[in-house]
Amino acid sequence: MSIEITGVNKRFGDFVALDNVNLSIPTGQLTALLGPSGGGKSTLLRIIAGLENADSGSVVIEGTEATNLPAQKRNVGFVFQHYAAFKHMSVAKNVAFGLEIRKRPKAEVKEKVEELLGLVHLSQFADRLPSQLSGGQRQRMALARALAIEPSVLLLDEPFGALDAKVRKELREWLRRLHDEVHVTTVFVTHDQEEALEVADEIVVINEGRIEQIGSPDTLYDAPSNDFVMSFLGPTTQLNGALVRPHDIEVFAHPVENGIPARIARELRVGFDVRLWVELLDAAHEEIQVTVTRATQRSLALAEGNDVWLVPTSA
Amino acid sequence: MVRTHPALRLVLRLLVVGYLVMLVAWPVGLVVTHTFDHGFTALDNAFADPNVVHALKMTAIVSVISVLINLVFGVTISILLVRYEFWGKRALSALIDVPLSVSPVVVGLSLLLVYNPINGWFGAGLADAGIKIIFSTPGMIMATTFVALPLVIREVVPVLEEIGDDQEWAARSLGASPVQVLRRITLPSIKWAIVYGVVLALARSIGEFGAVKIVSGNIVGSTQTATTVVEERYQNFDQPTAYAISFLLAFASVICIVVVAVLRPKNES
Ligand SMILES: Nc1ncnc2c1ncn2[C@@H]1O[C@H](COP(=O)(O)OP(=O)(O)OP(=O)(O)O)[C@@H](O)[C@H]1O
Ligand SMILES: [Mg+2]
Repeated sequence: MSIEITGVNKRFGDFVALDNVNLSIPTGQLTALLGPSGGGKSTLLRIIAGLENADSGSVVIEGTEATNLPAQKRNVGFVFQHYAAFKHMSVAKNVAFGLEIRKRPKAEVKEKVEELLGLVHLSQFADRLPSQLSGGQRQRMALARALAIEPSVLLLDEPFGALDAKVRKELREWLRRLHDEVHVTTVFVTHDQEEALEVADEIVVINEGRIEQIGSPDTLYDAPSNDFVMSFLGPTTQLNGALVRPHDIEVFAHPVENGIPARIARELRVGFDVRLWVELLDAAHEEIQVTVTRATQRSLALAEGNDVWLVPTSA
Repeated sequence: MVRTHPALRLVLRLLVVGYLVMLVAWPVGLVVTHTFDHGFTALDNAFADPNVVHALKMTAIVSVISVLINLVFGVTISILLVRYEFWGKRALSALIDVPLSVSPVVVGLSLLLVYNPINGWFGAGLADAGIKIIFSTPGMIMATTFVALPLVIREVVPVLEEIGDDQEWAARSLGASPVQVLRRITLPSIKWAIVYGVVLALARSIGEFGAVKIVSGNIVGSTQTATTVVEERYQNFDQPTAYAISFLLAFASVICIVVVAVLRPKNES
């Protein structure tokens, strides 16, 4: 295990930001801390990095007791949501910062900076100031700067949160590839479930200062341990008093055994998915959501006003 | 930008220009023309007068020392106020504006009460130890420092607040010690705010009159400064010298402004 967090508590005044958090983060993996805003993700990450002190509990990084170690001695790379670029230094100087602090020989620093700038595709921008870069480029520079010190763990706090949707998507795919190349233990915070599912090896779901569930993306998606995790990881709808995913309901155009009779109230096509709002033909006349593929909709000739029979497929 | 009628814009422009001309340009312009009424004779005479030269020296010494003190304390207090939580922070932050709101005369009188050698709170003891504050340079430096105290802080604090502490934390996580963070990150990011603050404090210190006049005792050839010598000469009907020194004071301010304009990097707003 690369990071061991035991019994960590943190309060801000009366507000409990972290409530007895225990967590082991495996070496060499990409772990996502996922949860709603204000859940305590950044606080936990900052405690790991030493940017914040826990009220109680301990943090062990790569076998070293780090609870009382100041940030500069933890050898942790930290990437901030808003880049935290050193505005008065060139891109190359930013990346070189940690190495110069460590008094590495000039030639070695130069070589390492060139290598890292190549890795993050910023070689031609080495002499620019951060203000002359785009948001995505600035964040790649911040990443190179954090990687330069060869950190034992790399921590990213919503690294792509300030970027537009397209750049976000590009950068997270790029982060995944970079991680496969560099293999440094990485923890990143996000409140975007799609980002976590797409990029992470392991996801830690945090809500109201507590860990709700830890597991691989598949485990969390297929076997959420509670309704909170289930509804946070994807769309849900209520059927027979249970939470199910709208695409885990099979739709039939003719009566079937155990089929729940319903009528299509509305439909909305989103790309290849078709969302159906169906009214259950029981006493309550509840409306629930079902998602089918365009192909299913066409083959069954589903349309508004049709009667259908629903069968939950999962579990 | 709000669209305004061209006529209204013209009126507004005339108003602003008129205001500045009546209050600043014309009066200062008159000082300059009076100084050079008879070519350089007024300035030459002023520089030939040892008391005037001494007063100019006093102004230079007192301003430079008080600006240095305000530089060190101003930057330290700004960092404390913005980056640290401590008991009494709000009170301190409110106190800093006192020198801007209190008349310099009051500052001078209060220093006199505390440090005068006969019945001042500290003054008597210090006088016994052979240290003279009132009617001498240390008192004048204290008065000037007090009056210019908020200027560096007022420039630096907003900049520190705006840049936030992310850069400093990033540097810490990259292995920098607090001192290295200060030298490599914090000070370079507030460099220009410090320069503006110092120039403003310098201009204010050179021009200080009320507090210094009371504390210095205005002793000719000893504790007299450029501003107090202007008043003395003017009242003693030596107007050419009064104008000449006023011109020098105004000239120093213009130099300050030009220095800032030249130093200021193009891409900073
Ligand atoms: N310095 C602080 N002082 C007081 N309260 C704080 C402080 N830092 C965080 N909090 C509170 O602690 C809670 C958790 O904050 P945290 O920043 O860890 O949330 P988060 O999960 O990162 O949320 P987001 O996704 O919005 O960034 C929030 O309710 C926040 O208001
Ligand atoms: Mg956060």
